[in-house]
Amino acid sequence: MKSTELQPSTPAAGETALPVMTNAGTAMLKPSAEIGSQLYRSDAPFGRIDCTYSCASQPSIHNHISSEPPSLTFALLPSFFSAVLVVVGWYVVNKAQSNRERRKQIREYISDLCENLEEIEALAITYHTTERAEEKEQEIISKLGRFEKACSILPQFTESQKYLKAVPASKLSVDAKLLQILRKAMTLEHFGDEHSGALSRRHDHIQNLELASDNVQEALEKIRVDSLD
Amino acid sequence: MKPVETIRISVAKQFTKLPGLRYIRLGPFSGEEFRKKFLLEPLRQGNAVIVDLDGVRGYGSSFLEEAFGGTVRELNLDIDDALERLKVETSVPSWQLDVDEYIRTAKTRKIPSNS
Repeated sequence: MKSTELQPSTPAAGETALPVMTNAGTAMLKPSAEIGSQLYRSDAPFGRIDCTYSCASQPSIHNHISSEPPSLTFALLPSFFSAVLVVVGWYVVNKAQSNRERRKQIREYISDLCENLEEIEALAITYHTTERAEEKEQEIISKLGRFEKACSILPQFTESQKYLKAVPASKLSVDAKLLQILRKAMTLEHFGDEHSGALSRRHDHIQNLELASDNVQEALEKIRVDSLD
Repeated sequence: MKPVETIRISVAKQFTKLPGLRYIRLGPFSGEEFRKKFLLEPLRQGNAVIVDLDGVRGYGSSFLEEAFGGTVRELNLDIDDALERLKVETSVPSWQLDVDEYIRTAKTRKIPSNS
C-alpha cells in the first residue's frame, strides 16, 4: 500500500493542500495523495501511521481520517441487541415452562374424566341389566350432567393464552355429538318407566351404550396424546 | 309468524336444579311438568321462548325429549316455527344438540304411552 506523508506545516506557496486532524495534531494532506494510501507524519512518535486516505472530497477526508472516537449511540448498539436477546430468551424459556405445566394439568384432568366415564358406564350398565332401581336414575343423570359440563370446560384451559398456546383450543374439544349419543344411550330408551326389566349384557341397547362410551373415551385419549410434551 | 315478545326461562332458577324423568306420574320435576308450566302457554300466545338450561345437575334425554319434542307435538307446531320460537341457551353443547334434534324429530318419533 502506498503511503503519503502528511506535512506538519503549511503547504508551500502555490500548493493546494487540505488540513486534516490526526492524533498527532493538525497536518496538511498533499494534493498528490492517492485514495487508499496510508497517511503518516514522519514527525509523529515512532513514525506512527495515523489513518488511511479514503475519500477525495474535503469534508469527507476530514471525517474519515479524523481521530475522534466513535459516537456513543453506535458504541451502545451491540449492548442493546444483547439485552433484547436476553429478554426474548427469558420470555421463550418461561413460556415453554409454563406451557409444560399447563399440558400436565390437562393430562391430569383428562385422567379424571376417563375415570368418571368408566364409573358412569358401569353404573348405567348395571341399571339396564338389573331390575329397575329408581335411585340409580337420578344418579346417572347427575353424574352424566357433571361429566358433560366437565368436558365443555376443557377448551378453557388455554383460552387465556393469546400467543404460543400450550395446546390449540380446537384440539381440546370433545365432540358434542359423541356426548349427546352417550347420554341418549343411557337415558332415553329403557329408562324410567320404559325400563322393562333386566336386559342381557349382549342386548343391542347395552352394546350401543358401550360403543358410545368407547367413542367418548377415544376422544379423551386423543386429547391426552395431543397434550403430551 | 313474528313473535309478540320473547320470554326467558331459567330451568335452574324457576323450575329445579334436579330435572327428573319424562312424565309427571314418574316423579317430580318431569319434562311433562316443565312443558305444561312454562312452554305451552307462551308459545300458544304467539311468543318466543328462550330456555336457559344451565345451572342444573344434568338432564336425562327423556326429560328433554318430553319437554321440547312434546311441546311441538301438543301444539302441533310447524318445525320451522318451533325452531324459530323455541330456543335454548346453554354452555353445554351436547344439550343444545339434543334439544335441536328433539324439536326436529318431534312428529316422527315414536313415544311411549303415558298411561
